[in-house]
Amino acid sequence: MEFLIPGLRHFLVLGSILFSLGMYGVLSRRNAIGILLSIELMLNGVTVLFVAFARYLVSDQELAGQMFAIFIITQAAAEAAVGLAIIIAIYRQRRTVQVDQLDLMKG
Amino acid sequence: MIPVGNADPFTAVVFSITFWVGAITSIVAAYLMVFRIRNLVRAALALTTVLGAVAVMYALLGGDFLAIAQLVVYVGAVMVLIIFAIFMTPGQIDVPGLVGTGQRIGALLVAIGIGVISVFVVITTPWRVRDTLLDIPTTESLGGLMLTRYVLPFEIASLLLTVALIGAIVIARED
Repeated sequence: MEFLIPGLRHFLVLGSILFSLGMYGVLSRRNAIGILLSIELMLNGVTVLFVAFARYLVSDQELAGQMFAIFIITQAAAEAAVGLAIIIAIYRQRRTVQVDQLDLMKG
Repeated sequence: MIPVGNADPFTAVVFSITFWVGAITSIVAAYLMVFRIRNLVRAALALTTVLGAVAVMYALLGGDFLAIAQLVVYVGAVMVLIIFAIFMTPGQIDVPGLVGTGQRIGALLVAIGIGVISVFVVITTPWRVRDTLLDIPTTESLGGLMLTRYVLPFEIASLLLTVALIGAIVIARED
């Protein structure tokens, strides 16, 4: 029953699983907002890893991981705002947010 | 709330139960979000569940400030923004949301590949794990670090948020 006690590896595996689920979502959705949702999932998987390292690893700067997590959250908020603005602008022009119909740049 | 080697058994049991409930909740919700749910509003709700469970993980890992920031910024702001965007693109919620089967199989292979490799790496790497806890609450030390060692990234993040704010308004404005 040793594996039931959570340690560093449990949190790392959890973060990795969330990241790969998000990766599948990014690659398999056609709706741009759905892709953005999956990207948020991937970012959260990475952030779990950073915070777990901050808690468990030997280091002389123990809070560096949490600091990184804060900057990731900041960046995710900015990315969501700009991304959704772009999606809404595209929707006004083309009446669709399906990424495979947005082929304006195709030669 | 964080057990060390000599934590009392009750705290250790509560820690383990909270971890497993949170982990299973987040993985099941994430699985449903990417594999089962086609409706975007429901996908957003599933993602909110994941974000809440991740906030619980931060709390378990001694990130008190992070757990609250996760709830306030992600669940409170980003998800509201996303749900507004879903409402502002009518007719796009329920359309078949997936790419063709070929690309889906490719996506599955890529995701499984990355997942297997990273799980293998984090399990086999001999991490140098320490016994001591973080100095909880971490909010005060994080605030101090933000204005000393990390003052440049902090300023850049402020600039980034300003640029994103103005950029979002300019891009989404009707003209």
